[in-house]
Amino acid sequence: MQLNGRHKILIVDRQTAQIKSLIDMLKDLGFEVHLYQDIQKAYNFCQTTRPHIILIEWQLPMNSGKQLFEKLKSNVTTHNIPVVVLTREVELEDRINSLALGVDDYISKPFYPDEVAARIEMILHEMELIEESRRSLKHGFMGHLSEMNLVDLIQTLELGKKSAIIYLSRGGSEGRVYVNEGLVIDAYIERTDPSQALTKMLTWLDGSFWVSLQRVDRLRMINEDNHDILIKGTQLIHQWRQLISQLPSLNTLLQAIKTNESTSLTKAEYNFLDIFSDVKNILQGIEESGLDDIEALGYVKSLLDKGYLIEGSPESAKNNSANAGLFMGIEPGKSNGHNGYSRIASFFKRKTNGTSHTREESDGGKNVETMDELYPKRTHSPKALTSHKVYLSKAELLIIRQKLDPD
Amino acid sequence: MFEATYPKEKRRIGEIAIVGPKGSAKQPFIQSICQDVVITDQDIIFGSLKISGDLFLFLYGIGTNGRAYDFAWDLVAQKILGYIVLFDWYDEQSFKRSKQLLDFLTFRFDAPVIIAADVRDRPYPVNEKIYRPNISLTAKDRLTFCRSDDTKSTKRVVVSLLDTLIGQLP
Repeated sequence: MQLNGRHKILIVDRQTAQIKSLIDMLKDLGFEVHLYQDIQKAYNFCQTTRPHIILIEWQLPMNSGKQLFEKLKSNVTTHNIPVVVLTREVELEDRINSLALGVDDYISKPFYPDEVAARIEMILHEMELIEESRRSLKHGFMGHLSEMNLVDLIQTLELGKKSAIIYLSRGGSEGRVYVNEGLVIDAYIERTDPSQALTKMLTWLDGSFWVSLQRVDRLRMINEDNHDILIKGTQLIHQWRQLISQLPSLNTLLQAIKTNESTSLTKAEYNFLDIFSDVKNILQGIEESGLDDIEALGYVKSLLDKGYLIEGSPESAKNNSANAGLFMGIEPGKSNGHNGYSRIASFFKRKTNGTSHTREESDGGKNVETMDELYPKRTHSPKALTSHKVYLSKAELLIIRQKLDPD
Repeated sequence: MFEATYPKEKRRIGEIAIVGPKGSAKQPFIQSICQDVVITDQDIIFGSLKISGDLFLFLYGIGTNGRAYDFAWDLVAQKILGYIVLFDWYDEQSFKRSKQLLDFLTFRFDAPVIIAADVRDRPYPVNEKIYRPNISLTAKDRLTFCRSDDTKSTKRVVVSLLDTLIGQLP
């Protein structure tokens, strides 16, 4: 096993014999290892020294392991340090709960130090690959949309008659545009028609892009020609900039003033206002609305002008943040009287008497939610594919195959 | 979670996600294969099948509606063998939703995906090559047909996924 000795590891746990043997092993492998039991000292260490990976015992006194994790994730300087949870909790729902919070890996105690070292290696290797791909792209280029927006990118590819996939990312949204020999042929955002997806991305003026120059083998789903797309894009950008100039920054936290349906609000404004019943920033509100970005921004302006939206406090946002990514829009305790976590855990406890049926009503897709939209993204892989690791051996897969093969 | 008697910590588990829009027959698909099935009120279905010894196969039926289980995607990707995207062959909306699902899965997760068109008890006279362009499948997308309530048929779909995975391993 080869591990990079330049990496720093922080372990937050009691100094037990098992932890000591783990530390000894990691030091032998060339890691710089730091152990803290005190949460505040561990947090201060992260702020000043920034370890490459953190191992946290979840079951420290007074739930402090979990509190430390939440504190790290809410701090911009530490939120993307990978975290591995160590704990004796072995129930599936506990593993799911911690993974659902955004933990990078989960190791049950007692553990084999070899296994922990292998998992650390895997995570650090994944981080290095992602960093490497960001630094150098052999067949493409990347940058910020504030410097080069989609209109600029399409023009560039059109001039050179290039084929490429343009990956875009803004806030919690991701999308891509397919260009074949300089012509835009398709666009994709989850649960969005290709034309609408393209229109949406034309106004993404902050965020990042990555252009992968490659052959594009895809059916044409966008019928507009580039000239029309570019004109539309320019107009939309102009409208967007006009609106933005009259509003605070997109990162500004806003909160709705509770009101009954008021005659001064249109129904659409009233529905839009509901998005801000929890404190969130403007960009999050726009993305959650599912509306065209310019339309959504228009509602933000209108509601701010009418006084139904006010600036929210960071404290209110923090109180919501731990569960917001998972449960936004779901009232705690609404279903079966459970809180958020026990509600998730209850998914795995419900039994059927064999005659149950799932509720698969057809609603024409109106209430279909965006997949993965609010789940807290793995912070170190915003665009990279989640790499596929097969946890069974080939022999085991063949045994499963043999058992299932009906022929 | 399941009433298996084999100690949890010693189990070796293969996990496959059956994903599909509303109306796709995830439940009968899983019930046709698994011995032990749990159905929740959140459109998530769990099935387990003991293969032999300590080896189990888990099938997760995951729908696409509701925010409560969006976490399942990243969670399931931790140890998933692959995905089966199930849709109703005769429902055009089901086609479109499955195409979106396919794009989502291949964009985020680097695991094998099989698209299973469920014809249930109806015939499917239309040539698959004609339908592929209609639902924007490329030549390399793996499309297969199944009858979601027929055990032999559903097992063949899972075997097809396993063959894809086994073929990728050294």
